[in-house]
Amino acid sequence: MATNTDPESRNIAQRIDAWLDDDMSPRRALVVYLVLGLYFAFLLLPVVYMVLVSFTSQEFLFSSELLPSLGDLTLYNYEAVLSRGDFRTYFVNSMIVATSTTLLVLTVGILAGYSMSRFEYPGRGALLYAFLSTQMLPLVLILIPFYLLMNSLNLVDSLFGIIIAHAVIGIPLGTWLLKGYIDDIPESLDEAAKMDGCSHLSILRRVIVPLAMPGIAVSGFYTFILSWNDYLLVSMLSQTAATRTLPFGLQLFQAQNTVAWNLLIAAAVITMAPVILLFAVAQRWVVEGLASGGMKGN
Amino acid sequence: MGELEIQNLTKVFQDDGGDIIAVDDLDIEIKDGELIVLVGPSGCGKSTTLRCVGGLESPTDGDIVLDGTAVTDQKPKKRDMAMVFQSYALYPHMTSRENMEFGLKMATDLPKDEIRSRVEDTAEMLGIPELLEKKPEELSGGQQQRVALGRAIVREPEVFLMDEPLSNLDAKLRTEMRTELQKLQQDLGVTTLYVTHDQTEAMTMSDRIVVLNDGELQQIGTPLECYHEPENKFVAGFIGSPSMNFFDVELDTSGDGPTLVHEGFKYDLQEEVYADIKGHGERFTLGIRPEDIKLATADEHNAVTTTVEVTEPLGEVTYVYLEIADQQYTATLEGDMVIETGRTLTIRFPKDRIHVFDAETGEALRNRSRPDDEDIESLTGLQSADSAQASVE
Repeated sequence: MATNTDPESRNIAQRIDAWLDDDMSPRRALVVYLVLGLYFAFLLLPVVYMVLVSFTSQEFLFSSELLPSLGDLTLYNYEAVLSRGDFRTYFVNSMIVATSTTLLVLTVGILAGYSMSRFEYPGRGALLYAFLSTQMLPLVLILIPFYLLMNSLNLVDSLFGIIIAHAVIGIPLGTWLLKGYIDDIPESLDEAAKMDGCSHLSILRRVIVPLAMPGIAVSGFYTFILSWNDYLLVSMLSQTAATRTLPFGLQLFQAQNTVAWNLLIAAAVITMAPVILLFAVAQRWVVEGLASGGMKGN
Repeated sequence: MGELEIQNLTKVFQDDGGDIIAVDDLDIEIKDGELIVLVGPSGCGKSTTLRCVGGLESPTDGDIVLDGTAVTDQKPKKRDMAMVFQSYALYPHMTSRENMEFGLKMATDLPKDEIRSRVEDTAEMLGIPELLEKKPEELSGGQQQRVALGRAIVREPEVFLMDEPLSNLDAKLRTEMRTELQKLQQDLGVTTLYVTHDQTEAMTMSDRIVVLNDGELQQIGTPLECYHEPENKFVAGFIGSPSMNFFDVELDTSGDGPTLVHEGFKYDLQEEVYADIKGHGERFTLGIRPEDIKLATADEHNAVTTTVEVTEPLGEVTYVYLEIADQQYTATLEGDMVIETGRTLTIRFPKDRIHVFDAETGEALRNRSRPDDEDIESLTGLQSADSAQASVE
């Protein structure tokens, strides 16, 4: 409630403030839900609509109908998309690249985050800022030198090269995030584990990792999406169909003058599905991790 | 066996502003089964000492010797010591049982059955078998404390290291746990190094107290030795609550006899006290414990006139804060004495209760006389006479 109780003398800001603080008001709840509802409608309707029309034919898409009837629904688009060998290869490539990148970023991030959180060594601060500074440059700026570097290392047109490239982008933020979560785990737990007979690595495995799970889930999820959705680096590093990934695969359904919208939409749904599935699995940790900002220990 | 020796232990921390000496050339010998309390103000080096013993810090210099073998360079798990932390440091993702089993799994090759039965026996001993399947977040502070204790006991170590284990408990529980912990330590007979800043814990629990200040050893002794015969002004001021009163005085030998002169009073010295302080210059600190201050009449020898500033009646005793020459001092008087603020009070410092310290070094030159055997005998005699009378009545 506002400090001034006389309604006449309160200015608008104070009245809004008091109104927002009054969490018992049904009117306020209605407004809040209305705003949230609009927001999610704006965000989710296109996605829901996309999923819906992915089961319809090209003809329906170009008809004047907005919603399909049961008779319009078909699995043809998915059949056509999945029967394309190149699309399947892209899907497998995406899976390999995103999973490997996530594992690599988490492995490096957990080790680096733990070391930066727990040990003092020369250059630790500088390293942290160096990591942060890599996030300040737009990727496009470093694209050409990055390509030259990858080329000289013989990493162009290989899945391994794409994994390394994605890891280079993912490691700094992953490390920062994980360092933050590990900082929040009381050091007395490390010491208790040391007294109980653990080495540094076993402290990491048995105490730190289980307690940093929310942070690990957030970093892992972020990295997976980063790698799964990347188009720029793949378009630069991938030279043949054997190394392309799904975002690239969507181009398969666009010719110079025509676009097979029905197939493109089905392919887009297939591209989107693993990320949504992953979120469903990791949701508990991700939400906890985002909300708490870390594990507080005891 | 658990004979522990801390030999010339020095720990220096590097800081931007230079070196910080946390522990300075510390020597302590602890007998098997003894409970030693390290006590001192914050930053005195007591926790650092404990951590060096446990292997959580590497000493800059000196050795930690357990049963004749130097363990200074050994990892914590090799030292056969278990630690109880101030924050309990229970693993939040494990149940109480897993917390207690963890050390045995990591540091020993015991079979699962043996680990299980040891955990259950320890839980039984501590009265917590029903808590074994619960996680720390489901436990109260006192229960967490017991589990933390159980985690140390189940290891059956040679030495227990306890870092202010009771400081997070409320006052009532702390008193209960203090007694329980002491009994447990006696039953188990495990050498224990216990760190606290609470001098009541130090006085009541320990076989011997180690008083530290600024990383330096001030005194090692039984609680009563430290209380009655402090080796210096720091120990005298630190042990005992309320603290000892200190008066800056100068020796005056120009009159009839030796006298200590303070801004607010003069104190004629006895020959034997003078003999102890003679030759140590002219400036001294006179010390007297609040409970040793007695009320006096104005014409009494060595009487001091004071003004009452504040009184704090605690029921059993009353703390009276007195002003002498613009400085505040404390006297502990009987609880039924009601003294108004602002009134004048005459007190005296009994001659056998005063302490005199060198004003420069703080070294104790003269301590109060301890109650001798005759005093104790007469007291116990008195008590038995009382009880005999009571039974007759």
